[in-house]
Amino acid sequence: MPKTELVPGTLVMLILRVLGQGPMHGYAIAQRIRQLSSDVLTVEEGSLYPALQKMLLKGWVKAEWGVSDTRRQVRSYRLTAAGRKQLELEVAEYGHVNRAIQAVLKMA
Amino acid sequence: MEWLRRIWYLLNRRRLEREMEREMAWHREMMGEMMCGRRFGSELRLREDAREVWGWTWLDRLWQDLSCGARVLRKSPGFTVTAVLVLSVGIGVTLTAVRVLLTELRPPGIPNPETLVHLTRRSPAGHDTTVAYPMLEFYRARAKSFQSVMGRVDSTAMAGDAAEASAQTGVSFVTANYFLEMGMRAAYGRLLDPATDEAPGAEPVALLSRQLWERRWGGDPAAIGSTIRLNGKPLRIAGIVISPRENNVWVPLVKQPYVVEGSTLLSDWSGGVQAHARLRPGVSPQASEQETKALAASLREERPKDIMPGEWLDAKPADRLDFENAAAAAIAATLVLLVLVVACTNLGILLLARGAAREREVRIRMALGAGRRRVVRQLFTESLLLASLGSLCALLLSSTAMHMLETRFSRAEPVPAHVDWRVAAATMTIGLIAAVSFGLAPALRLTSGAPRAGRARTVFLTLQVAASCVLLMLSGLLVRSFERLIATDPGFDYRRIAVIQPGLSDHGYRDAAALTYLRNLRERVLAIPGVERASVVWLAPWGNVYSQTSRGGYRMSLNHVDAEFLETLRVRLVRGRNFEPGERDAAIVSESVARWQWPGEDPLGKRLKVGNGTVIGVVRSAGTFNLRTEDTLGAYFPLAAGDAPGSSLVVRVAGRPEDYVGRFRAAARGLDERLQPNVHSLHSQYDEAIGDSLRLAETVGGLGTLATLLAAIGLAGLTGYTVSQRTREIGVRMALGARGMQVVRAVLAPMARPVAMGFAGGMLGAAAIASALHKEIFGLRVLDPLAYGLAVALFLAVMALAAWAPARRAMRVNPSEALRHE
Repeated sequence: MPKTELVPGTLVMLILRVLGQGPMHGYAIAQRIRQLSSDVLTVEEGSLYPALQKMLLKGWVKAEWGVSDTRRQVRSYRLTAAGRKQLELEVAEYGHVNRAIQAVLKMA
Repeated sequence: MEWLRRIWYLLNRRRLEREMEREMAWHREMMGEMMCGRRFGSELRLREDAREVWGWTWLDRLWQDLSCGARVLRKSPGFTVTAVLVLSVGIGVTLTAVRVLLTELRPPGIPNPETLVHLTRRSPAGHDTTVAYPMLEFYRARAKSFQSVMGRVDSTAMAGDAAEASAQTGVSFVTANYFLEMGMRAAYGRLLDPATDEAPGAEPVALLSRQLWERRWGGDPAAIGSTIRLNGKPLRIAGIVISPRENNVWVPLVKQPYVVEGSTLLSDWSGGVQAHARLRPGVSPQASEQETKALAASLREERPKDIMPGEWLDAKPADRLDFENAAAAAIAATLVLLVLVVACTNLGILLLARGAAREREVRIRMALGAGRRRVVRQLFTESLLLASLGSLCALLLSSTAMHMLETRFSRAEPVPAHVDWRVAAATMTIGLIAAVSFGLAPALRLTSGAPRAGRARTVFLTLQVAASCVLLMLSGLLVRSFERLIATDPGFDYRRIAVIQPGLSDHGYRDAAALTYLRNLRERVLAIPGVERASVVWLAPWGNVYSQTSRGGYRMSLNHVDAEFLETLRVRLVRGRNFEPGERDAAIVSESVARWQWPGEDPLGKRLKVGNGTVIGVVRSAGTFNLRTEDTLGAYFPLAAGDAPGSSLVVRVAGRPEDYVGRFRAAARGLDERLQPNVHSLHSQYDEAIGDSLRLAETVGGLGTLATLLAAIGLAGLTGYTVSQRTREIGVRMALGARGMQVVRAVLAPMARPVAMGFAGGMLGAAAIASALHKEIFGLRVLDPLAYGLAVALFLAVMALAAWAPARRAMRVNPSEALRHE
């Protein structure tokens, strides 16, 4: 399966969506997105961490240190109320744009 | 909220970075387990990318630039010291001017200066800078726009304590609220109190300015409570006032008639009080003018003679620049800015010169991936650092300069040169402007990668030469005008003239009584041995001038004199005759008037339109009106009784007029004890005027010298730069048999055009400023080839000296070494 770059601007939405199922650490987020997209979407580490930092700054997620299954200290991210709101917003926005694009593609 | 978090990130940067590092390390480990060997990328780079989200990268870069800049500057102390010196001079001169202006505008200490307004009477037909005391009282009682109204009358009186002999001293009569509103404090004792000091029958008190108190009372606190005599009237000293720039005695305005006997100031409706007011909160000056207009209209119904139709009190915020001074201020600002221009262009040239040596460094940086913007920013940060250092030194320098100026130009208590936020803001602004103007162009040039010879250098050089030449030429012109002033003969014998101003109108003298007094005084003075001649004149020479504009559009100065005037001042009669005693309707004009008005005709018997009179005589044009205007158009009319209360006695003596002052005073007071006559010699006034011109020439000359020195530094740098840049080429030329002088010529040739352009620009600039100043300054000629020529010669000489050392270096270039160079 060839790797596909993410559509710009959707990374934050995907992360928010994945975190909606519960707190997760950085690596797990990347894995989860890959799994759910059946290996179509890969999240580069180079874009994951800047995105996470931005979300922290915006207050959409909170980070806390915990212990992993392998008894290692890891930082996991948890969605906040603001994050949930942002997710709804972005999903709606995305759907809107998507429908518009689809419409154009069908017409032309 | 987001910005709060950002700041939190900034404060906890270290810890957060460590956390991120750990997190990423774990990520990598996990990845290594799952999909062996996949690259995670440069860990450092990834962290940097993530960190950039925090929004503090610029701070890191700034810090990098600053520390790098500081390192670069520290490594070349010679350049740094030169640059900071040049800058501190340039910025310092500008800053001093700004600070002088700031203190002029807003003497420190005035509370809420924005609500303080200066009141003058205005109407569509005319204006009066003073307000009569009864009017002031009227507005004080009625106008709701004003929280308080302050009045002040400046005059002089003979002051002394009970025993000591009197000396003439400045006295200011003020309303009691004046001190608090003007932000003046008492050093000892108390200020005036409206309740006690302005009450009817209050004990007369006086305050001393600190300067006066220190000089005359030796700073003894016991002076408070003791008695001072003003014009012989005892007043109790109630306090010592800290009043910068003022060197006088302060007395409640209501006590003016007590000190000046017979004065009608308080009941007189014809003016005389300088008025200020404090606006009520929220009231604009315009609103107050509306109100005073309505009040004046109602007052005019009662006193139609004293109030002009449509009159109002013009309320000008006290911290606003006076428009009449605006032209002078603009010229002063231009001169000062020229020094800044010289300093900045100079530094620009030095930076360009240094750039030659740093080209390699910059190329390497850019080759390693630094963007042009980043390098420009770094180079500009260096300039900012230099400008900050320069500004700091300039601040110190300007404080010293202000102190010097204060002690030099005013004899009163110097205004403390303190640094407030306005001064700080001015310093930073000037520093920033300087940094942009000298630093940006070299930084852009250096990173452009284009061939070396740049327009920046030509522009800098031209500007620098032009700016320094303007200053040099202007000081040349001023020195020449000063020479002319000294060499000028005012056209009459001023060296032995004393003027006695009895001040009759202050003491309630009316026309006939005043005339009688003056005649008697003249008899008494003539009886004093050594006195040769005496004449009664309305306006004493070089004092007030009364002038009218004739229909032809030129201003004529008029005076009223008796028949002794021409003889006393030794103004030569060219044609016709002198006045006869009691003659009316006659006029004597100066030759210049005759030439203007009736060219080629006989002026005698002609009717003079201005001032009305038949011309009976023509005199040599003489500077009896105004020392500073050459060739005044002057006309003299017979003295009438109506002129007498304001008239003076002009006396010619054998020997020094100063020796007669005491006897003249005694003579004047012998006729009326109450009078406080002012006696002075004309030549002291002349010397003062000369002193003013001399100081002006010195100041501009000082600026010109500074600019030339700065220019010399820049030029030495530029020549050195050219030589170092072209060492190889010079070597080749030498190897091919060029002689030393040819090489020097080749090095200097590219500078010839900008220098020539600079001379031309400088000449134009100097001529423009000179023609603007021409009316104000005696004997200033706009076209004075000698002044321009000398300035150019001096500048060229200094440039030659500055270029000498680098040029010698060029001549001594060893061809074989030069070819191995680089």
